[in-house]
Amino acid sequence: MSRRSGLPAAAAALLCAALSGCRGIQSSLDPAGREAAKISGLWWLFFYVCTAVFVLVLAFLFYGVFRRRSEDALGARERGKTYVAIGAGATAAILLLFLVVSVSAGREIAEPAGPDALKVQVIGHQWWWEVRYPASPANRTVVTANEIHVPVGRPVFLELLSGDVIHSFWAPNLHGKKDLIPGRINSHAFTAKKAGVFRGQCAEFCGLQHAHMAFTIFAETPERYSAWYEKQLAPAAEPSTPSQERGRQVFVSNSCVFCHAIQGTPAFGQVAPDLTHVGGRGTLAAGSVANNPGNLAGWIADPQSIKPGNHMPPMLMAPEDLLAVTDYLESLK
Amino acid sequence: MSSRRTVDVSRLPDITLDSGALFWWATAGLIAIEAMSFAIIIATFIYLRMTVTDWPPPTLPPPDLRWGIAGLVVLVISCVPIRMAEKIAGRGRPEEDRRRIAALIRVFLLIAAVAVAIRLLEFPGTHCKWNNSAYGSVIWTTLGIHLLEALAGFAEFAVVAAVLVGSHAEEKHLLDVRACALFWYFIVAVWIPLFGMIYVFPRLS
Amino acid sequence: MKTSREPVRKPPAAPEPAPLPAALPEAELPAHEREELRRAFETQRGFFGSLKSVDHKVIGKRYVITALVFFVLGGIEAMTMRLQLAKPENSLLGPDLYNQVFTMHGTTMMFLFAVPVMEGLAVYFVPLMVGTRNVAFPKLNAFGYWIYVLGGAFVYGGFFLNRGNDTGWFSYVPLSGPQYAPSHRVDIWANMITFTEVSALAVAIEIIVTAFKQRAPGMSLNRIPLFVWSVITTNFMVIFAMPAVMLASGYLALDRLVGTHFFNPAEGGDPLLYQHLFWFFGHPEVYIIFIPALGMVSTILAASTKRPIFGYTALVLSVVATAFLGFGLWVHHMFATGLPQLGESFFTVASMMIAIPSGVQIFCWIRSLWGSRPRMTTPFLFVLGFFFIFIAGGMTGVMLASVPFNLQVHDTFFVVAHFHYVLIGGAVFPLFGALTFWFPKLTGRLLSETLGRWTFAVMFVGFNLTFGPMHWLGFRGMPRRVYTYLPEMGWGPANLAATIGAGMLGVGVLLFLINAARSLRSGEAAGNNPWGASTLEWATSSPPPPYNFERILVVSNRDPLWKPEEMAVVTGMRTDRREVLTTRPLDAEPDHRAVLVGPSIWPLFLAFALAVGLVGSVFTPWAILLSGFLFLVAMIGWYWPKGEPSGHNARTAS
Repeated sequence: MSRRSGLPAAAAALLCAALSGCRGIQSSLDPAGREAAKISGLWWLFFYVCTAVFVLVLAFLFYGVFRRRSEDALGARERGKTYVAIGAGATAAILLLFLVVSVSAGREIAEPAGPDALKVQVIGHQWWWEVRYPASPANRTVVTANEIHVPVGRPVFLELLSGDVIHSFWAPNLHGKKDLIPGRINSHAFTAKKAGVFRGQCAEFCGLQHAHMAFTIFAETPERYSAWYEKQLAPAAEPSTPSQERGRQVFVSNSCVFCHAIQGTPAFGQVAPDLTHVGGRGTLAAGSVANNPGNLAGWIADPQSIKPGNHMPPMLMAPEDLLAVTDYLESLK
Repeated sequence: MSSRRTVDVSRLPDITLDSGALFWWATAGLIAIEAMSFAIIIATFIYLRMTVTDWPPPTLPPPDLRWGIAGLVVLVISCVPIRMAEKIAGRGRPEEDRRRIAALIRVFLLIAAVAVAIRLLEFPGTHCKWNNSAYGSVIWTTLGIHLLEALAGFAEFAVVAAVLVGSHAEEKHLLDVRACALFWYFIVAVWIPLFGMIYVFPRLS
Repeated sequence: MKTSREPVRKPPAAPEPAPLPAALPEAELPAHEREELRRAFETQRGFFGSLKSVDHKVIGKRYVITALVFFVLGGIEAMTMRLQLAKPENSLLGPDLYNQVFTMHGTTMMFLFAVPVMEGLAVYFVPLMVGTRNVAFPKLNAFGYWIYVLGGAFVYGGFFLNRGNDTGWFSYVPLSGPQYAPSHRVDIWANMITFTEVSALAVAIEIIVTAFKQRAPGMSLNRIPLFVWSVITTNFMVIFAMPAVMLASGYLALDRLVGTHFFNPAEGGDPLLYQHLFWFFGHPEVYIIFIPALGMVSTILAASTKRPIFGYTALVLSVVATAFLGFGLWVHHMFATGLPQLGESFFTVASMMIAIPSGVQIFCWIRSLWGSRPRMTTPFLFVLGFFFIFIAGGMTGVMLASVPFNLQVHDTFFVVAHFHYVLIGGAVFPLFGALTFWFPKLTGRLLSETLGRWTFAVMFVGFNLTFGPMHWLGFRGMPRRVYTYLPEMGWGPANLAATIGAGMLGVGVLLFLINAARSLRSGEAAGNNPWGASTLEWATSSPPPPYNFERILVVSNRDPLWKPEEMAVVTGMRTDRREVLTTRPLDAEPDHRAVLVGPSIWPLFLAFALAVGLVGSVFTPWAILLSGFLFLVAMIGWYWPKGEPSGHNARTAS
C-alpha cells in the first residue's frame, strides 16, 4: 500500500473529477461513445421492462400464496389455463420486443467504419497492450503501449491481435469488448463523442497478472490528437543533463535493450513496451501504478513486487545508475 | 376383494431377448454416448477444415485409398457371421445352439482381426503424423479412437465366445450375443461417415 | 378467481388420506418373506461389506454427502476469494494462489458438487419414486460413485500439493496449452474431467433405464412424478453434452502430452474450437444442474399445497423444451470472440426463446399456489426464495442474450452475479429445500423447523447481499477473475458488502449442517409420510428398508398416496433373490422379472484401475499399460459367474 500511497490515488481522483465529473472512467453506464450510448440505452429499456415484470410476477405469486380463499374449482382450473397462456404470450411478446431492439442496436453498432476511420492496431501481450498506428509511409507509423489517443467524433477502427494467449479489449465508456485471439485478426470500431480520459482493462482471463492489464484511452479534440501524433513520430528526446546522458548509457549497455526499443538509440527490442516516449505516459506496467520517478525506479529495480509474475526480470544496478536511468526515461516525453 | 387389488406376475418370464431387456437398453445408451462422441469428432473435422484453405495441407497427398477401402469392406463383411449368430441366439435355446453360435463368433473374430491389421496399415497410409499439423492430429485421433472401439467390440465377443464354449451357457448369454452384435453394428455403421471424412473429404477440394 | 358463478368444489385430494399400511393391508408381506427379502437385498456388514454395497440408497447417500463435502470446500474457496477482494490491493492471496482458488471453486462447484448432488438425489429417489427395488445396473452405479470420489480426491490432492489448475474452470487454450501452462496443473485438471464425466454418464444410463423400464405397473408416461421427469430429461442431456467436454479435455490432453495441434493456430488448429466444444457442453451443463431443481420445486409445491400441481403436461413439455433449447445457446458465451453477425443473431433468438418454457413453468407454479393456503414450512420457504432469485437471474439471462449488451457485461461481475442468481437461486435454494424435505426419508428424522427458517432467512439475505452488488460492479467496469483492483476504481464498498454477504451465506450453510447434525441425534421421528406427500417414496418406511417396498405397488393416477383406495399391489415376486419387476416404457405394463446383481468389490477395483491410468498418464504414458492390465482383471472379476443362492437362475444385468 505504502509505495503507492496518496499520490496516484489523488491523481486519479483529480483526473476523474476534472475530466468526467464524478462519473466512472471505466463504466458502461457513463457512455462517452456512440456505441456505448446505444448499449446503455438498451440496458435502461431492459431494466425498466424487467423490473416491471419482476414486480408484477412476484405480486401475483405472493397474492396467490397469501390469498385466504381456497380455490380449486373445476372452472377455476380451466381459467388457470387461460392465465398461463396469457402469461406465456406476454413473455413471448416482451422477448420479441427485446429481440427487435437488440438486433437493431447490434446492427447499428456493427456498421463498418468508413474510409476516413482512424486505424489502430492493438496487440495483446501478457500483460500489456502494444498499440500501433499504421501509416502508409512506414516511417509515419507510431508505436506506443497501454495508451490510445483518439480524436473525438472520428470513427476508430481497431485491429485486434494477440501475441500469446486470448485477451479481451474493453473500454466500457466507449464500447463493449472484443477478444484478441492468437491466429486471428478481430475488428472493433467505436466513435468517441465526448473528450475525456477513459480506462479499459483486459476482460478475458489471461494468466497471473490479468488483474493488472489496463490501458487508457485519451479522447481528444482533433487538434490535440494531431499534435500528440506528430510528437510521437519524433525519435526519443536527447538527454539534456549529465544524469540523463548517463542514464541512456546505462540503458543501452544493459539487458534492457533485448526487450525494449527507444527510437533514436541502439535499443530495438521488440518483446516489451516501446519506451521512446515513456515519460509522457500516465501509468506504468499497464495501469498498475502512476508514472512518477519513484514508481519507475521501484519498477526497474524490482518489478516482481509490483506485479508478481510479469515477464520483466529485476535489473541489478548501482543506486546511482538506477536514478540515472529513471531520470533519463522520465525525460522521454 | 383382494383379487381386485393385486396383480399377479408369477408367470412372467425371467428374461427377454428382445429390446425389453435391461442389458439391451444399456447397450443402446452406450451407443448413444458413442454416437454423440463420433458426431463431435465429425464436427471437429468440419470445423478444422473450415479454418484452413488447404485440406490436406499443401504437398501432402490424401490418405491411401487402398487400405481404407479394404478396411471398410472387411468391416462390413464381419457383420455377416454376427448377424447369423444373432439370429440363432434369438431362438432362445442356449444348450442346443451354443456351439454353432460360438463357431460363428470365431469366424467373426478372424475377420475382425484382419480388419484391425488393416487399420494398423491405415495409419502410415495417411502420409503424415499426429504432430505434423491439425489435419494429421484429427485423422490420427479418429483412426485411433475407432480402433479402440473396434478392439473393445472384439474383446467383448471373445469373452462371449469363451463363455458359450464353457459349460455354463445360459439364456442371458444369448442376450449378451445380441447386445454385443448391436454394438458391433454400430462400430461398423459409424465407420462409414468417418471413412468419408478421412478418405473422401480431402479428395473433394 | 370469482366463485360466485361456479360451485366451489372440494379440492380433488382428500385433506388427510389414511396412512398407507392401514389403507392397503395387502402391501405387507408375511414376516418370513420380509426377512428373506431383507437378506436378499441387504448390504453386507463391516467395512469391506460397505465397500461392496450396490444398494442405490447407500450409494445415493454417499453421493449426496460427498457432494456436500465438496460444496463446503468450494464455499471455503469462495469465501477466501471474497476476503481477498474485500478491499482494494489486499494481500491475503497472491495472484498464483488466487487463480488456483477461483479455478478450484468453479471446478468444484460445477463438476464435484452441483452435478453429483443432483445425481445422488436421483440415484436415491428415482427407484423409490417409480416404486422399484434398485437401479437397473447396481454395479455400474457403485462404479460411478467410486470414480467420482477418486476424481475429486485426485484434483484436491493436486491442489493441496500446489498443483491446482490456475487457468480457470473453463481452461481456455492457449492459456491452458502446452506453451503457457507447462506444469502438471492442467493435466491433473483435464484428467479429473474424464473421471467426473464417466461417473455422470454411468448414472445417466442407469437412471434412464430405471425410469423407463422399472416403473411400478400403471405408472404410464403421463403419471411419472415431475421430479423423475426432470431427472430423465437431465440425464438425456448428460448423454448428449458430456462427450463434448470429454473430447475437448481429451484434445487438450493430446495437445499437451503428445504434441497434436488441435488448438494451435500455427499448425492449422484453432483456439476457438476448444471454446465451441467446451460451451456445447458448458451451457447444457447449467441446465443439467438446474432442471432437477425444477422437479424439486414441483415436488415441494405439491406437498405443501396438498393438491396436484397445475399444468402437469405443460410442465413436462417445458422441461423437455428447455433441454432441447439448452443445446442451442452455447455461442452466447462467445459473442465477444467476433463470430459472424448472422450466426450471433440466431443464438440471440435461441437464448431468448428459452425464457418461454421457463415462463410457462413459473406461471403454472403460481397457478398451483393460487389460493392453496400452502403450509409455510422450510422447504416451501426455499421455494419462495427460488422464485425471487431465479426470476431475477432469468431476467439478466435474457439480457445477456442480446449481443450488444452482452459485449458490455460479458466476463464482468455482472455475469458472475447473473449465473449465481440462476445457479444458487435456481438450483441450490431448491436443493436445500429438497434436502430439508427429503431429510426425514433419508434419516427417519425431521429437521428442526426453527433452525430451518433461520437457515433460509440467513441464506436469502446473505445471498442477495453477496451477489446483488456484483451487478453494479460489472457496470462499473470490474472484470471477472481479477485477484485485486486499484483503490481509485471505487469498487471497494460494493466488494466489502459482497464479502459480508458471503460470510452470511456461509453461516446459513453452517446452520443447515448444525440442524442436520442435531436432528440425526435427537430429531423428531418422521414416520412414513411427514409432509402428507403423494409420491411413492413416502409409501415406505423412513429410512426405507434395503428392498424399498415389501410389495411392488400398482398405481392408477399421478398422486397415488392421496388416493390409497385406488392402489393395488403386485404379487408373485420371488423374495429369495434380487428380483425387480420390469415394465414397458410407455404404459408400464409388466414385462418380465429381471434379477439384479448383488454386492461386489469389482466396481471399486475397476474405478481404481481407471484411476491408475488417468492419474498415472499425467506423469508417464506407461501408466496406461498398467491401467489396461488392471482394467482387464477388473472386467474378468466383474463378469465372473458367481454361485448365488438362487442357483442357475441368478442373472446379471449390468
